[in-house]
Amino acid sequence: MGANDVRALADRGTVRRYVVTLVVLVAAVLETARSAVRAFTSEASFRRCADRAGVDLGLPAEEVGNRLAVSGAFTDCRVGEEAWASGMALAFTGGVVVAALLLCLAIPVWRGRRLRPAERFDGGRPTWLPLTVHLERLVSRSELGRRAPVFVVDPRQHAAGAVVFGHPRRPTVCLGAGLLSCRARRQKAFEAVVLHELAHVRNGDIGITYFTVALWRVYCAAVLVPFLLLSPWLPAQEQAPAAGTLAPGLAAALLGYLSRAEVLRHRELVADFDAVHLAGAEGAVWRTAAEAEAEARREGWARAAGRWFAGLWRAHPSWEERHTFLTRRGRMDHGATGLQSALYVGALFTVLFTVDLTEGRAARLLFYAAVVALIAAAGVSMPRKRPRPVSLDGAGARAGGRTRPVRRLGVLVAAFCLLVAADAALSPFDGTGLPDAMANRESLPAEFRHEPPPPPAPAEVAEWERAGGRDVLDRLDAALGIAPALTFTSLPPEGDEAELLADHCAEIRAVVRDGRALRPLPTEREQGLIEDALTSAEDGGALLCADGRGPDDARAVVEADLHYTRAGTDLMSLRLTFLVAGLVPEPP
Amino acid sequence: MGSTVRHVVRDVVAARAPGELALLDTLLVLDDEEVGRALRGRARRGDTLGFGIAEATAVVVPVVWLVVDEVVNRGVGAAADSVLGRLRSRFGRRGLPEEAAEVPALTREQLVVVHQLVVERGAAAGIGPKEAEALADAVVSRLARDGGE
Repeated sequence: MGANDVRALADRGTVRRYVVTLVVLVAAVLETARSAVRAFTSEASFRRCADRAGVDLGLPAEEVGNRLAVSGAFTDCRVGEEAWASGMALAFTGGVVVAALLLCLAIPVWRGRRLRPAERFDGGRPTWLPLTVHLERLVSRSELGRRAPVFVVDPRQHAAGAVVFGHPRRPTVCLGAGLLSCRARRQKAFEAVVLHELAHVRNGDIGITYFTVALWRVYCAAVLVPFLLLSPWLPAQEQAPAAGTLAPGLAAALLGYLSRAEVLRHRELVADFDAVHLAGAEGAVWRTAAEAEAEARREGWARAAGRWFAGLWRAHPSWEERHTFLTRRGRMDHGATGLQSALYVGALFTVLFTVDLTEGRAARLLFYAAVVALIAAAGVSMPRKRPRPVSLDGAGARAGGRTRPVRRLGVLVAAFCLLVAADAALSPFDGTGLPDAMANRESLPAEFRHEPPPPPAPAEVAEWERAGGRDVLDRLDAALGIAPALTFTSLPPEGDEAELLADHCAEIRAVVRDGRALRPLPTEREQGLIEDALTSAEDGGALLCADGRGPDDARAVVEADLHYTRAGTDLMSLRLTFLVAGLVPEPP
Repeated sequence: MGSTVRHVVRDVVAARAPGELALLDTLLVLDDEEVGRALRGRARRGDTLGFGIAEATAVVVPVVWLVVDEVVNRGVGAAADSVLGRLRSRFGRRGLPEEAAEVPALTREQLVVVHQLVVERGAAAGIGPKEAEALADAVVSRLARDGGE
């Protein structure tokens, strides 16, 4: 178990983690763009579609809502508009990616405009070793192959640092004026810094890193900031995104930033490692810096927690982490760190929640690509239950940078193609699926939405029931049960019939009287139900109990039965409402 | 022909802080205005894919340059306090052909003010009191020599 194993562990899965970061960022752009497009266009789309369906919006709101609910033309039109909005969001996302690519190309030009070629400083100290000769020696120690960089100097930068940027095949290493001034005094430190940058070149970190940076910047400038600025105005729109719908986009952005920082920190560690163990940079430079950092550090768990939290957002590890990594030996492969796993699971959920499969083919292709990327990254994103020794085949400190396993890439491409083919064959949703229609149905403006009035509050109902309501309901229910006994076959014996009827008539009058004396129910609809039930019961009772007609008049019995049935239905509705309100009255 | 800011600063740095000569020489590819701006600005850290060591590379150079530059281009303390003067110094000369100003002859009182400025700013930059005094002496004697020519 040696130093190379440590490097292999850190280097593993970098590209896949980067890809997951990119997927999450793209999902964030897509989600935010979709919310925005929907919010801005849906009111106009609603009016257009109502017009096309021939529904006059001047009608009473409930009428409009009911007509639109049954209008196929309206639903089709809304689905079409929705597909257009999704297309716009996708096109916007594509535009953001293209803008990020352009920015990626523009950054080196922008940064390079005020820099001077290193040759110009050949006369500086130490005079016995011209700068360019010194740099050439460092390049040859770094085994860069054909990727030898151009060296420039930033005279304005008086920190003792350097940075690499530019085209991956023609990188530029920019040395700060402060670093040049170190060259004579602290030659080893100067070399360590340059060799670290050359390790970034050798490891192929430039292209993908700057693309991620560019994508993040374009996202902030073109998506996040405008959206947040417009958000106070959005609630005035018909389909304003609620705070809940904004959350996935913002969460994805946060996650993208964190996982970008995490990958970058690892690239730094690997570059340190290569600079020391491959190109022979002086490890003491790291040790000295780590010691200085430890001395300046203040103790206390709160400060330690603060440092840890701040460290999550930084693209650079602390000197202590760098030094620990450089001096670590003989590690077992424990799989991913907890942070990596957490970010991965977060990415998984983000993608699942932000990409809507019903949105059309382009969105689905994006989703499949994301799924393939996530599956590919799963192996390097989860901790191992049983640590295993590191095997050096395929990864390690070798010339030429990261390994590029062609076979694995082939499998992933094949998996993607398979998904796409299956999609083309099955194509369960082509933009007119049920969820879309439902979503559109639900997104009618509030003024046209027909919603039942809210049920009464449970406490109020309970109060009403205690005050005699329960008793009236139960007695009414029991009294209404007489109708079948009068109409159908199970007639009681002759003598009992008159007695039964007399009891019933007395009871129904008493119940109606008691019911009318009750305090009114808090909600209009429920009060109407109880009043109707009482009226129907009263009317039925009047027919049954009228002198000279009574139960012998078959017509009167049927009419009374109808009244009682109506009363029973009203009572049922009332009990149902109470049930919905959370109150379950005991059955009579 | 008299000395310019860069002559004076380079002589002082060579005498008192030769370790910073390399930095100064790198800076001197810029014109005076840009050097001043670079020294006033803060060092960039935390660049993506950037790496550097914590090293105080520029302590004496900024102190000496900024004081001498102020003396030459704005007069001792004259323009420094007026808003208009500051604006003029920031925007006024932009776009004109850069011609390095010569160090004027300074009176005894003015040299005392320069001495005081170097000591104050040196202390603020973390230079010890003795070194700051020595640095101020070096600056004043260099300016006086120039004025006496």
